[in-house]
Amino acid sequence: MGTWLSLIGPFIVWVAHFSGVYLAAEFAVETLNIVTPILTILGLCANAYLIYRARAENLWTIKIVRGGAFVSSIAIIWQALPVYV
Amino acid sequence: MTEGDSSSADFYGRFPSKRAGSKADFAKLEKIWCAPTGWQYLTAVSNNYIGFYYLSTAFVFFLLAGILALLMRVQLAAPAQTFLSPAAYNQMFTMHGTVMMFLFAVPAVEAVGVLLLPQMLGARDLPFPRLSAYAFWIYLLGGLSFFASIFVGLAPDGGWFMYPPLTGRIYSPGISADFWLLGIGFIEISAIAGAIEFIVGIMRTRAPGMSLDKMPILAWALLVMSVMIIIGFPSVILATLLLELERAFNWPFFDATRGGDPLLWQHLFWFFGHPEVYIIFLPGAAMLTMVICTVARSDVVGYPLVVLSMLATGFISFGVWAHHMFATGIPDVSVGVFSAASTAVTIPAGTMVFCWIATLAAGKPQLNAPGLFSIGSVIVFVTGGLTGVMVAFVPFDWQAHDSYFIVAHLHYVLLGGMLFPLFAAFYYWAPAVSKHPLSDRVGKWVFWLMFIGTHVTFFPMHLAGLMGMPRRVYTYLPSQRLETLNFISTCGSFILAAGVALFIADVIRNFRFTPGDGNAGNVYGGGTLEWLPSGLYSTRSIPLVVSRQPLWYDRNISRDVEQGRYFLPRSATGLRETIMTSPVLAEPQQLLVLPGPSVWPITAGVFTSGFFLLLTVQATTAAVTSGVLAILSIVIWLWDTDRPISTKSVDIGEGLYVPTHAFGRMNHGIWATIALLVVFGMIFLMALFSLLFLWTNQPKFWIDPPSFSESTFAFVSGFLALALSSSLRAILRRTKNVPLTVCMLTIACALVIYAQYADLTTWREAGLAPWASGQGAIVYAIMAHQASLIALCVIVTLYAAGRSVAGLVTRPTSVLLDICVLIFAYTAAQGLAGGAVTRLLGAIV
Repeated sequence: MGTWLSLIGPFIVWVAHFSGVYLAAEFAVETLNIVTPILTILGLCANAYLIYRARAENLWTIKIVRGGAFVSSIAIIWQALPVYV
Repeated sequence: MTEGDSSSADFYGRFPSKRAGSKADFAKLEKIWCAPTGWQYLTAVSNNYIGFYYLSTAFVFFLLAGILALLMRVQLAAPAQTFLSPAAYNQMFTMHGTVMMFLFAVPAVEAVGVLLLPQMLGARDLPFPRLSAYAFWIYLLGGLSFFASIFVGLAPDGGWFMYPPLTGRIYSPGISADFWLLGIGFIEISAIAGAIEFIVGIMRTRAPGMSLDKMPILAWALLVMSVMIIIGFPSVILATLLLELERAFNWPFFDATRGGDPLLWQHLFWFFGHPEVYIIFLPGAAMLTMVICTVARSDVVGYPLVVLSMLATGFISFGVWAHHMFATGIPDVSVGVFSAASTAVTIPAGTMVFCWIATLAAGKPQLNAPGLFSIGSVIVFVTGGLTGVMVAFVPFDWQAHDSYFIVAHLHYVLLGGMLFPLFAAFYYWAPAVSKHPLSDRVGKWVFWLMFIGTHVTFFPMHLAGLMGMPRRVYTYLPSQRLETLNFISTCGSFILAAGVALFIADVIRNFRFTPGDGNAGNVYGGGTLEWLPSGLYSTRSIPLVVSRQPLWYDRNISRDVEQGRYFLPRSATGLRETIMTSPVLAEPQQLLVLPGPSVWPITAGVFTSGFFLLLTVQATTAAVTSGVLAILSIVIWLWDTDRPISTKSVDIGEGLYVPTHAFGRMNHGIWATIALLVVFGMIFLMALFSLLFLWTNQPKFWIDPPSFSESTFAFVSGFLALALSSSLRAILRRTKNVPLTVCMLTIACALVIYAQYADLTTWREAGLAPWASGQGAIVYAIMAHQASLIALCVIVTLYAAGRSVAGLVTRPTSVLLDICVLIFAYTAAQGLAGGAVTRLLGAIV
């Protein structure tokens, strides 16, 4: 299961970030300016950790984790932007 | 063999074995897998039959929905026509959308999976063949009954999205909306059953050596799709149940005057509805990828990128649902977040497109029928994708919302992302199913007619939309200058239909479904396992996979497989069986005995469909009877399958022994149960979202909940049930005493029932009624969901007790009790969570 968690880990991080930002935007908009940067930094750190953790996996899995972390990080930063715009 | 065991390499080195399998073994294999004859032909459960039935039925629904589209185009060919009445037009566009999305698109991609996946993975069949059969029969019977509603004027007419309040009792009296709400219930069950089958099949029945990096792209797509189904479909299950409860019992979930909110429906519906587009698209993209590889004679360029894109698309698609609601006045920041996610999803989709183009560029593409359909798919899909980016931006979406521009966009995406790939797949894989391939020459004609027809039909709709033509109106006035564009669209739709008609002629002329009697073979030179010589038993022996394109990598593999030089060249137990492998590296772990033909999946399908349809016409007693008979049928079918096997371990080739049973997490039944509980969990989560949504939007309708001290009995019983279920897991590891375990399950069952009763009583004493407010409605709905799980607990307890008395629960080989414990633990935990959250939210107000 560890390999599977590594593979989808970056996307779970994205889901967590998205859910946090969305729930704050929908239900507690006054907290958004605090919640969003915290979640964004946490999300990026989590992706970095996942890349670090995957180094023991095979090369193919490492590729997927790195790619996933890259896409997830872009999406996380991208979806945090509307809060500041 | 455990995952990552270094001994696997030693075993793999022995294949292909020097000794060929005997003819006697082969004859036995054929006999075990032969199809039933006579009327029992219908009881076949093998994927070769069920997959074909499934796909044929889906195609029939495609034709029926296509005819509805043609009728609508005739109506719109000129202004102020009266070919269809407004009411009939409403029914037509509702049925067209519903049938295409629920009865054609999702079932069609699942059908392709059922038909091809076992062979593609090197398995003899999917792990739960009777579940596939049940999914098919419920779909066929329910689908036909649902479609028949249009012939008696009872078809739903509120659009395929069925927004309340239009579909509430006031504006949609009668039973046509109920037909939709209950009628698609069977499709949801069918889709979820198929998804569970695929998840377990792909994770656990791959051929030895087929590690994740060697899995066919279609398997990856079906895996992602299946996970999306069990995450996304529960939302629409909940939505349809809530609206039906509102219509039948006046529970005001969507009534703003009584603490409900019509926007809640849109959130729930689109949380399913938008991922549904990707549920359809991902398998389409995967079919396209596999066809492109073969026609270009090149392995896919950027395989990890394609896999990554599918995973990314699967996840991100759950973050875009509200882009269907930009015009509803949701908060500005939410709009921004959803707009960002909607544009982010273009990254993985675009990556896939570049991989396809690179694969075509890397090889020498053949412009045969599958090749043309593949290239055409890319063009049509990219066109639809580009307009998708446009509508992801809020200012443009506000302009184009509910106009024909959106109709054009969605048809480009769905035709390019699913229909064209499906036709590529028809031409490409027909030789694997039929005695003769389809005609390549006719196929090229079909392609050009469909390709031209698509553009002529849908491109003018962009312009009509930008000129202000709204969706879902049965006519327009001559003064609007829309007649030329609409006339062109109508002409295009008939060109498209001509392409489909020509395809049908080709099928009638050439297609011969002869399972077990050979097929046309590898006409296009594909490299994946489904092109190995096969019969009803799939392949004679299960190959060792060392490449993503095994047939290109090893020219002798077909011969060696056919001679029985690989795994499982004979039936080790005298029954239907396949190899279960580990989830990552696909190392052999267990021999899985598969059930054979049975009439019970059919009866279960008949009665399940009967349950939903009888409820629709408000024949409650008959519906309940039908539901009970459906449960009985399922119990009898399960009773027959979980039999003790005397042989503990068997040789699956070259002295590699694997057990005939797997325990705990290794067992496929546990995997399926976890997937089922995820479905229940998602329904529960979406119900909690509904609670939160109504709480924030309609706080003035909320009353004080019962306090935690008033609810002590409910919580204590719930905790005891959870503790008992959790400790049962530990007890099961140490004891073989089945009657004792069943007794403890019965006690746990009594505890969860009491907890539910106490919960209900405290809410009633607090003065909350389900018809009084949105809060009452959603709290009672959460309790009703909990009650359905408790009913499941009662059924599995009775089942376990019955099997225990019959001496059929033999520990540790039977995992029935492990499954029961899992269900009980989840039920108790959900009850506690539901009770706590409903009280906490109310208390905060």
